[in-house]
Amino acid sequence: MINVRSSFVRPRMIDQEIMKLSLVQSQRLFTSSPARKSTKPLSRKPIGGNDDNNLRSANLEFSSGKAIILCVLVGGIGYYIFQNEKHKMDLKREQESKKGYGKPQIGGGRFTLIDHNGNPFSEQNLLGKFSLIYFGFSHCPDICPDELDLLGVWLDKLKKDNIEVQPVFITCDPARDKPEVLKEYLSDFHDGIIGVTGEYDDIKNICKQYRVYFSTPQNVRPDQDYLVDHSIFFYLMDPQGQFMEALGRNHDENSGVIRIKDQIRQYKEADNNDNKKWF
Amino acid sequence: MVWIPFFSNSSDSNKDFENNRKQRELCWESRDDFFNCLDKINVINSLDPKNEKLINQNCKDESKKFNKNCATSWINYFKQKRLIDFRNSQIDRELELKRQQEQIQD
Repeated sequence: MINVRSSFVRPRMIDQEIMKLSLVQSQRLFTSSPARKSTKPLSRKPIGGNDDNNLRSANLEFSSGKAIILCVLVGGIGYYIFQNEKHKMDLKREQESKKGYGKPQIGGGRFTLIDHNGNPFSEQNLLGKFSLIYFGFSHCPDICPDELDLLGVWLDKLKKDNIEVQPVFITCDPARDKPEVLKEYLSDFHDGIIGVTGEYDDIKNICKQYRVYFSTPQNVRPDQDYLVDHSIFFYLMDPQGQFMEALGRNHDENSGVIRIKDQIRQYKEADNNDNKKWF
Repeated sequence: MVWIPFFSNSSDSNKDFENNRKQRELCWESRDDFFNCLDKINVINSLDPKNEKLINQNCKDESKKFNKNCATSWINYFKQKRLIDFRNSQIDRELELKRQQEQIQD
């Protein structure tokens, strides 16, 4: 009973014993006949040397036992590194395929504007956090209020997942949208939306940077009743103030959040990979 | 509540309109009422002077409310948008019909 058990538990040891024995036997077979010895001039054994079975079996033990462990270890590490690198390559490829050819020249430049409290607002205010920038004007009949409500829903949903995004509303109508007007207007929407306005030329410049269609005439009086044409996109910006993604009217309460989360996750993964490079 | 009246000096703008959430919703509501009334009398283009008489006969109240509750620029915008939306839906319908006919021929 005990014997059976021990052979069960240590099969490898027993295998090795058997192998050792058989080798010893075969060597004895070889060396025991002197006629054979002379027919093998290229034998590794020194001529007239003793059979050193102990040394032989020690070598064998190393090559079968430890070598297998070493091989598995090296192979395992190699496999792990290979898989790791492959995953990184796949990620990189996925990002590049999504980016298409070249990075679109949207935003990223310098600008000097003022927020709804009259404080300066520049490209520096986009650093260190993700931002969602929307261009509109307070006197917008139906689309901007809808989109700003949608933005509020997105912000709430993102906050639930602990994702903070800085919402920015830049007016395309600087003649009427003075800071106090924006402040009043944005009080109807989600808390924390930063209203941004500025001089006519500065607004024209930032609209150009973000490829926003800008048709506001220069010499309108603030008391005139007119509409401003503008393109409708949310611009997702990364913590370096660089453009990530434009979200159009096709996104609803859910798909917009999914898109933003995807983009932010990808950005963070790419960022981690860059930091992890150790070779 | 501080509100800077933009349109007080302008002769062609609506003095009653204040740009806040409540007023916007009121404007959209009266717009929908007015357009529903136009649907009933089959008028798409309310900017066309030819339709003026018909509108005055059937949708006078709705029109009055719409004009009272919305900014003048918005009123024109919504009326034009109704026209454009109608044309777009017509084009969509034609394309759909064409597609169906092609399917039958195939």
